[in-house]
Amino acid sequence: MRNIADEIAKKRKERQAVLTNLQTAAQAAQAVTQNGAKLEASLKAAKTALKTVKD
Amino acid sequence: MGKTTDAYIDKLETLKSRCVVTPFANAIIQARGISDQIAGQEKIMTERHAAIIGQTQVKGQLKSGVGGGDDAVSKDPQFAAAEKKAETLNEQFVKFSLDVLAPARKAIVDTVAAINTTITQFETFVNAKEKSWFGSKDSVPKARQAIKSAKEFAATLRQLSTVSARLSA
Repeated sequence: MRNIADEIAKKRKERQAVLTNLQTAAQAAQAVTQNGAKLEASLKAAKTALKTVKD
Repeated sequence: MGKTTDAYIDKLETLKSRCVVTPFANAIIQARGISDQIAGQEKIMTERHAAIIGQTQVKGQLKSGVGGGDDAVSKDPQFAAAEKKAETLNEQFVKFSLDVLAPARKAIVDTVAAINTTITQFETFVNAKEKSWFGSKDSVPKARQAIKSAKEFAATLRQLSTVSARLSA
């Protein structure tokens, strides 16, 4: 025996959980992009500074 | 043979460039689009459900969920069509998360391990050479800053890896 209202509510809840995780992943991806830009700048600065050493 | 410091820096740059996070940033937008379409079909289903149950209750025949009323709703052509569309869209919704994000996540997991190894090697090398680089006042601080930035980058990658693991569970 079906309970349509419950079925729809359950599917909405499951979908919302996925969307919440996707939102968190998008925020984490943004942090990666920001730290990636910082890393690039740091590596470039280090390479320039290390030109003066022989190793 | 090139300089060891250049080799470490080049390797970190290469590993960094392998970390493509665009799929994670875009996934929420695409998923919301599919979810909205599913919600549209569910709205039709809910409206048909209310209309049919309302009619049967007026006639004193069926009650929702207890007397087989919802089974009667399932046979309504408009309800059935909306439910079928919602199911197809839901399959897309689930498949999309797995198909798009699983390969991107694997690349990140693989890269995090390689970045951590390179950071450790570079840091060990800088520690060993620190005294001999004394004459160059910028070299050690800049190298340490690069190592710090690489560690912070690796930490955010690990966070993304952890979060995205929930999507493929």
